[in-house]
Amino acid sequence: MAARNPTVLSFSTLATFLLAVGLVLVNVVVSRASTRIDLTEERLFSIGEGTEKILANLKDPAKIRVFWGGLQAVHEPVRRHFAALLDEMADASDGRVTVRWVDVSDKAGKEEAEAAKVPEFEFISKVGDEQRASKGYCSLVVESGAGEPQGIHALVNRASEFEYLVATALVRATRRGDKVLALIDGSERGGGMMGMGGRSRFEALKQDFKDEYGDSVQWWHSLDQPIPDNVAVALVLAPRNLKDTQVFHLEQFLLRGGKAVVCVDPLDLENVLLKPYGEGEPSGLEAWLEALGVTIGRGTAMEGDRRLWLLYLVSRGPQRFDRKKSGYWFRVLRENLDLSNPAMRYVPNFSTYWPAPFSFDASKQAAAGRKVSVLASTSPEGMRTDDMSAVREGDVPTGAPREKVPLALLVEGPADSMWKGKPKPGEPPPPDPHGAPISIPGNEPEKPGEPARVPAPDAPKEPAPDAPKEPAPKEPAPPAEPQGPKGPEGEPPAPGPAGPGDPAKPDAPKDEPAKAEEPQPADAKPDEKPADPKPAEEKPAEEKPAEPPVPPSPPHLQSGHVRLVLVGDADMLTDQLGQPGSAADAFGLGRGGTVMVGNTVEWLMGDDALLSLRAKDAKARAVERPEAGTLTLLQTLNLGGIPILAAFAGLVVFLRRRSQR
Amino acid sequence: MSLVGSVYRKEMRTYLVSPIPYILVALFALGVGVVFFFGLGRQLPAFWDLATASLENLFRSIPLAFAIIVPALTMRLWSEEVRTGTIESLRTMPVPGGSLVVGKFLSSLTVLVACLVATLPLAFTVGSLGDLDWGPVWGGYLGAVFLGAALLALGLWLSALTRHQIVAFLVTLVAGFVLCWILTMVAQHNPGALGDALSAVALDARYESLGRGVLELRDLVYFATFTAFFLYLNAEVVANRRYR
Repeated sequence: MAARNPTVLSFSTLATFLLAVGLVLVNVVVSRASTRIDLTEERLFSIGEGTEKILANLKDPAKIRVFWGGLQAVHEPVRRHFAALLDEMADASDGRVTVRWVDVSDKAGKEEAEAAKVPEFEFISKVGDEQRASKGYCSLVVESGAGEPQGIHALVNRASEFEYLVATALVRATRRGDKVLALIDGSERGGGMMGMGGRSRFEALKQDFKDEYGDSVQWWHSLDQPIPDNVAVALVLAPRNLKDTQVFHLEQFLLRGGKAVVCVDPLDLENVLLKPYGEGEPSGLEAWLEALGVTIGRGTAMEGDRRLWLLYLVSRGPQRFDRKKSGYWFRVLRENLDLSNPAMRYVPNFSTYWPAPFSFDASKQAAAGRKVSVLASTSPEGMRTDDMSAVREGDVPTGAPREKVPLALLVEGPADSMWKGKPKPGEPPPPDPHGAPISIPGNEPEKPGEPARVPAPDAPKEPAPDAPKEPAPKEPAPPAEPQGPKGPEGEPPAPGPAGPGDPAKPDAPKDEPAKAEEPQPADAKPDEKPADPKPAEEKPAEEKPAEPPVPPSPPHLQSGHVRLVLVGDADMLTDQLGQPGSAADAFGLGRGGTVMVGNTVEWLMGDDALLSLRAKDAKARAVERPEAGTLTLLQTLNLGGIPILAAFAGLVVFLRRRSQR
Repeated sequence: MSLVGSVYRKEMRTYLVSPIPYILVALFALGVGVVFFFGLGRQLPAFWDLATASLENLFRSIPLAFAIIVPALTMRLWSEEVRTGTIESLRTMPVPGGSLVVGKFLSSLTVLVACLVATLPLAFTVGSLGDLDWGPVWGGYLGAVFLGAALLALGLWLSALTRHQIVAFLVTLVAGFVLCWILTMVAQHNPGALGDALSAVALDARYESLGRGVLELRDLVYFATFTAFFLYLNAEVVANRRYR
């Protein structure tokens, strides 16, 4: 080969050089653009609108250090997924977020991990038929300003929540102010439900909120004390037989401007499947809600559309359950949510379990100046039933009228105290003859020294009927103390004392003095401890704990503006049914309920930017390894089919050419 | 365009009567399938080990597979013309060099697409075993076409530089390995500006996000400009070189 005309060649070389420069420039310019199309169904590799808002509103620069290494090959796709999202976050933050991957394979990296309190994890992965163990790092630390570094660990197990975890860590690291979320759990009981040994049914949910809000989450087991003023939102889970005092505390919190999400749960796994009586338990809020113009129906809502029925457990003896499809457990479709509400906008379909049906009179609400919105309902084929006889077997009664049964409501507007012009519960009536104690059937205010109707969930438990009667021990419960982990990191605080019997059992003895139910925080801080609603002199002197003076009770508000979300089910939030890896996964029920309540809390807390993130959850796309014969067949067809066909075609062409020669 | 079409048809006829493209399709489908089902070291675990309804592993193996198969496709496209002397007759014809280059490029791209089509049964198999997300699958195939086009353009240019098929094959093979494997490896061991620069050039690094179902404009533009540049170089070589 030889060059042609030198002039032509030099011109050609110049043109080539200019073209190369031009193309490089084009690439440099385009590389700054972050235009992309994420073709994945869940938009896994793109940060959501919520994250973009969070990044845009960061007040301080944030630094993310990723400690990753020593993992197995199966974790490589996870690493690339994280790297892509973190790169995108860094791009979207306009330089406010920087990401650094720490090489933990050398000594310096390990020392840095140790200094950042990043632990080394042991992983057991299933590779083929064998389990493989390995040690490695998969954590990240978010640092911003002078705030505490926020660590997120064991990331490979939380791949689907990665964006949410990082976004919330950024929010937490840069959050200003003290908006406190109170979680009030009415589920903690004695005995041992489903092996829970008296623990709360909502430990995982609580951990989710702790991951998000850190120390801004406080955890109670009752409403025995007034809700402190620094609480912005109270999430009340599965309240049972609340006393007037407890209802009063919730009401006053709302009238003071607090917001609440109350998930009533009259029927749950315990009282339907595991207890002989199989009846629901009232929340104790019924009379107060009636006063607000909202009725919690007795019994349960059902779904008449069989396509929405879920597999239902029918108890056949201790730890033995049969499965059948039933309208007591059903899917609530997105189309039956109020998508105009920001909290519902990103909620997927969700599953619900014996939800309580609500009803209200819209015209009366309007007359009172209140607005009640239905946030979620059954399909138009929904039904209500008071007949509990068929619930255990899962047989849905026929012939009930069909309607869209409200399953979640938002109540907003002015409201009067149920104790307006009357003494608050537990207080002796004032001398004024017009202020006579109210008397609501089944919900009478308690008087000092009177037997309690039902103890608070975290109060000392009453003995079971067959247990020897003895005075209930007085256990302190810290209602106003931030509930940090007491044990190893990640462990929930110790649950309230578990008594020998079931406190909520209808036939439990009720002869304990009411004052024994009032938890007395042993270490509550003076500025956080709500006032004891009962006069100090009523308590026996020997039971008085040595504690700082109690601040005065908040004033009894007669009216105010309430903002309350009522949800008819709490089972969907439990560790058993609402968390990854729970029975819900095995049944394919999904976690939409957790998304709905989580988003509602965030909306009420004013953290709207996080709403779209919680629902962003990768589908489990697991493939079951087929039987050996099927596996061999599949591989043979795939490896042999097309190649043999193509090779055969090639052979035919070759033979034809040879014969033509 | 009609000139490009004429060249394309002529090249396709040549392909169809040769057993080589069929063999290439068979080898490609077999090789990619074996890697998919049985894995290739720690970086490419076997499908059954991942136990996930995803073709990500297939798409991750494609850069290396292309690095091997593209030289076999392009090695003869120009060097054969040079060896037999038909290149000089082609240049005497009223056909611009660009049309010749584009026609040959499109025909070889068609064969490469046929190779990709041969892997579709894997996608349908995975789809039948689990809940396969088809978005990344189509994205991965689109990305593979872009990647293949870039390598083909490079291979065509290298083929035009020599009269020996084996030289064209080996040089393209080495260039393919460098662009689809070695640059990324070097970049991983050299964090910082050098690593970033090498990653920006490496074809497999550019293809990575496409293989996951994320179509990034910068990656698509990179592949398009890379392809256009080497096709231009090819046309320049064909127009300005004198082959003896």
